[in-house]
Amino acid sequence: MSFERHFKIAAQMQNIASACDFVINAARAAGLSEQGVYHCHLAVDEACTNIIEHGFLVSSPENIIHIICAFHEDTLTIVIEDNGKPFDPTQVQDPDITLDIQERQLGGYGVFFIKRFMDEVSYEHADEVNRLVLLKHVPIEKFDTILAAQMDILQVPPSISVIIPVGALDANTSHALRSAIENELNNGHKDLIIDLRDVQFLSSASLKVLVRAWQQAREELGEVLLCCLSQPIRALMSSIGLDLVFTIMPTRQSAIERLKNKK
Amino acid sequence: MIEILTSVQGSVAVIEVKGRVDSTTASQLGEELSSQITAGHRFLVLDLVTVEYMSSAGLRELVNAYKKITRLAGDLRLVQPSERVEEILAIAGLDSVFQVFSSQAAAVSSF
Repeated sequence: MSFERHFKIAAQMQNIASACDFVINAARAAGLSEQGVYHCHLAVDEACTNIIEHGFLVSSPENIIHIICAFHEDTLTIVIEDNGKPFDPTQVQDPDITLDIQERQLGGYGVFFIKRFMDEVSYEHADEVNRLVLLKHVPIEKFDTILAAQMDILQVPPSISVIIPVGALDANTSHALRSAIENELNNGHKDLIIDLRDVQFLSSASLKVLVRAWQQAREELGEVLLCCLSQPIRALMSSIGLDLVFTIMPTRQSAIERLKNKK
Repeated sequence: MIEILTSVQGSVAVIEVKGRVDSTTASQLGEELSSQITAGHRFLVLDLVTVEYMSSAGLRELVNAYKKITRLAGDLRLVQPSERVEEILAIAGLDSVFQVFSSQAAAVSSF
């Protein structure tokens, strides 16, 4: 699942809350935990506050902050652009957190939090725009919860099922594949096509699930076909000899035809 | 959105905060803390049970108030900051500065 969302606010304090809500929603959609969502919320709040407090000499409706939230694979990228005066927050010195509280200065904590809570922080100035890029990686366990719900299944009557996993089939998500396969076999759909078009990574746990499915289907006089393998997955299967075990078809349609023609 | 409710229990001023303590609302908290100190209260309890969010702006008000009050031989103690608020205190290296209590009553009677 990927997305790219945009949001613009006039650079005024009262608009920060809506910018934060925008980022909170994107962070939740990316599957971050409540802690991860908070980190993103805080980072954007701090960044916007600094821009609004320090970035513009004169208040004007043309002072704009543009926020982009893009999610791809396991990374949420938050880009904060503003047309204020050039300022690189990454150059701000961290507050000394070893100092006794009485000796503490009050500044610098906003940027410090951004750097500590986001996985990567970078800045560039181009085309008269400050551009702060923040990255937050989504931990695999949470990713698994999204993927478990994204095992698409297509029924082709009378007894063919196409299972379409989305994303990585790694150690955490192989159980979702196994559940989907077992469910189909239990429902009498003994001819299965596993469409791997969206799978970029296949773990050994998932390979075991596929082999087991192949065995189980054969016991029921059915078959498991694979289709739409990417080049790397194809090469992986070939390197361990599984391309001699599984029937691998180039397209979903050819796989369906193959199963229909065997009757 | 922020709501601040102050009550005086004996010699202790209890400030209950509800909502978000961010760059738009932190100054309200700062003002309330300041006015309690000006009114002569050296024992302050800040009840953060219903604070769902705090940014560096909120942290600054806490540090400011703490510095002021400890110079007057007083103290500022906290009630149940959430995990998220504790995390920012910890990242800022301030988690061992504030005494934390699980209830207002416990915080008040600690003085």
